Amino acid sequence: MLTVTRQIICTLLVFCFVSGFSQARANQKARDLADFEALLTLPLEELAALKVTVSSLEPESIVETPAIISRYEARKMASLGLRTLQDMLAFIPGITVQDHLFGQPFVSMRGIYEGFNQKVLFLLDDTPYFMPSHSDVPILGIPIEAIDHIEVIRGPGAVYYGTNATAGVIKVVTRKDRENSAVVRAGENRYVNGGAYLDSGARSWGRLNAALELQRDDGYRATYPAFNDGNASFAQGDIDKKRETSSALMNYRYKDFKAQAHVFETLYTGIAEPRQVQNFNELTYKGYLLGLRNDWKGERTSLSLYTDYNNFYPRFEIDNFFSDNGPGSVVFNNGSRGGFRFPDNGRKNYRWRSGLAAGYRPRKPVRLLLGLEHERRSSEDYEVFDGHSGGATGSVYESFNLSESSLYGEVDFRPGAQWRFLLGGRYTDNSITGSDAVPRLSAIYQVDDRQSLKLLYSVGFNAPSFTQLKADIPPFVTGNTNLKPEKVASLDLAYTYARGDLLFVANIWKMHADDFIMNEVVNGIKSFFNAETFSREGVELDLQYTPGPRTKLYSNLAYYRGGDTYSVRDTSRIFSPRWTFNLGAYRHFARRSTAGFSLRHIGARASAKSLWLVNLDYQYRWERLQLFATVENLLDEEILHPNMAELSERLVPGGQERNAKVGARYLF
Amino acid sequence: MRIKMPGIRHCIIHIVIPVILLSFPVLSQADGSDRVPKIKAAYVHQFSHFVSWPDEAAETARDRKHLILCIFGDDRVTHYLERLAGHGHGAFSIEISHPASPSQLRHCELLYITPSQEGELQKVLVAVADLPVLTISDMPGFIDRGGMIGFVVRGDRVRLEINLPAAQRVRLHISAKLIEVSLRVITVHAREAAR
Repeated sequence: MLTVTRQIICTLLVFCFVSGFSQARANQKARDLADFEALLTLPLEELAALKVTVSSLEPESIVETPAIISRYEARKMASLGLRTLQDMLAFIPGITVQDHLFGQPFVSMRGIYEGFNQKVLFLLDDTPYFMPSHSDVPILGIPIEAIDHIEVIRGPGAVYYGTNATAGVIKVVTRKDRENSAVVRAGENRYVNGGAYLDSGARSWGRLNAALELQRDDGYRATYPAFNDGNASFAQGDIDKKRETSSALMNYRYKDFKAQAHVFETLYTGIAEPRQVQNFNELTYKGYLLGLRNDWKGERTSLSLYTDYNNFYPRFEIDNFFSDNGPGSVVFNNGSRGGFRFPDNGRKNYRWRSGLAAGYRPRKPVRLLLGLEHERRSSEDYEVFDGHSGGATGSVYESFNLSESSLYGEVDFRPGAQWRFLLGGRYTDNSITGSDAVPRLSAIYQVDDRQSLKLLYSVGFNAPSFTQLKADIPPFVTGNTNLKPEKVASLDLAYTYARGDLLFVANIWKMHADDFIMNEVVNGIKSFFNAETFSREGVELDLQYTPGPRTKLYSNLAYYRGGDTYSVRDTSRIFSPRWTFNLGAYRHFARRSTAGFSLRHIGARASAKSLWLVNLDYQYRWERLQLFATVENLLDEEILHPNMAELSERLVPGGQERNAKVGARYLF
Repeated sequence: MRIKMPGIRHCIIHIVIPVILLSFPVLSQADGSDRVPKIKAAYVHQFSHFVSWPDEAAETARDRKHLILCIFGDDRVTHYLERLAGHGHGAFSIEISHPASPSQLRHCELLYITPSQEGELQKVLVAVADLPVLTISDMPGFIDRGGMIGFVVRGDRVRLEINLPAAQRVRLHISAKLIEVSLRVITVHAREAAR
């Protein structure tokens, strides 16, 4: 009875809400037009003297933004020889991107990563995009022609974005421009990549753009060095490491309404259970995203409403796979093929998020933000299957779902032209892990139009993934249903200098982790636990300089004080480099040419030597045609990373030797 | 302590999703109460009064009886710029054009570039480098990157920044009155200043 009453009340609220806006609509439009016509009649001096209330959605300059943000444009990164999303991300201070033993790439920020749960939140425009079962993200699944730029927030972003934003937030912002383009690329090992971007332009019915990408590749020959971890020995061997993708993205906008649809399928190859080199695996990720959003903005108020549905699941196929005949009776089947899968095409592996965010500015120096969000995550039975018979032979975990509701708010107070204070928090109630609250505090002192000092404190949280909670593959992996969400508190002190041709950001950070979710392997069995409290500290510098219209220079550096050292409490820090350094520049010359380079340095960690990765890029433009060539890994480094995802010193190949790719891009 | 919130969950699910689906044509219309984009568009209208084009460009505009305002990109300002079509003064009225790429900018007298086109800025400026086209934008640091008139919000006012050498190089004359109400004016080429 109570539920029926609630639904009636909610339905009435909906009608009141919509009919209220309907009535306001006609009046608002007429007032709006009259106001604009009146402005056109004002003398110049009066126009210049008009006072305005700056809306909360007005873009903020990097000087006054309460976060440590790096922003890199995809086309400029291409001029540095960084033509994939993975390479672009790897160029950002404090970030390393490397391959898992299974083949898929993962992002580590400020040395934070766990193999069964990404701790960096991935956003496609404003929508979180990750796999409910393993929390992996579609790094290879976004059409590269669709990407306008990437923004990375270093440090927790939980107040706005919720779970997974413990280490930081990666936001891929898609293109909205009108320049249609088509591109093809080719390289060694029968690498072929093609993509396109098309935009309808503004029409009476709205605006539509679409992008797609297709990549096929025979794979490069990768050597896995021999390794002995004390329990098992792994022989040296080679496999062909492939990366293939098919993806499509569509954006529709009508005034303040936005709809987005994305679909992708990617294939990675590597080695999986029981991790010998003859256990060659093909790991397929499939997913789609449907999102609707409406942002209404008034002079003092703003309202955003959104809902997004994201289906995303993996399928492993492994050579010489063991068969699981119940606890304690694993049998290795030489010559067999099997793996892990979700039945019914992963239909029940989804995340469905809906929410609203309301902004209100009661008087000039104060802005209030209040948001509500609800998310449901679901996973189908995760099966072990026999590749020959096609039948299921066991279960990793049974179908599972959880729901998470959040309430968040923030007060933004600007007592004068120079100071800005923000106080916010997010309360989350998770049906499995319980309820919790995280705060965010920021103080910004704007020295002048170009310089600021920021003191930022925020706490991020990360709910355990389904695999961490429920996995049961005896005697290899066991989940832990008692896991608590981890919390990472971060304090940043940053100096920012920004003018038209120069951006410089320097920040010192200290991080404090509670209940950090880690894995450990004891007697060959992997299990998950909440680690003891530990802290980390570091420094990041980021410089972008445009000395003239033809040249652009990028440079950044990250230092992590505990990197590459052993710690009993913080067992993952040995796998993080103490230093990363990136340098890149490009120059337009001889009217039609552009040449650029990038240098990425990753310091030594665990068993891996330091890396110096250099790419060169040359572009030639003729009318609407661009021809380009890229040399990747010019120094021919042997790219080996420690197996950070599994906290093992076993070395994992993570990139091709020196190679070249050529391509053409046509604009129309 | 764990607090159950079934009521909140139900309300979120039952309110948000229907409201999104039902309200988008409604809410999409109610976007006009923010004055900042309107004021920027009104300034652009004033530029047609306070900027003079070189003789040959002015003659071409007189022949066709309108100034062409090119809009490169799409944002809240462009929504109001489109309403300037038909407005004007004296011999000119304003006509709106939506060039699709930097190669289609030759016919413009005024060019507004949205911040979403920042990645294309250098190409756009190179495409109109030798043409009498008044470039306008509200992207940060626009005039420092070679643009002519930039909008900035300072305090509680929408202000102008003007790059005089960039305009003078293509023989555009910006009136003293416009310069007078500006927040910042670049008056010397960066290279000359460095000497």
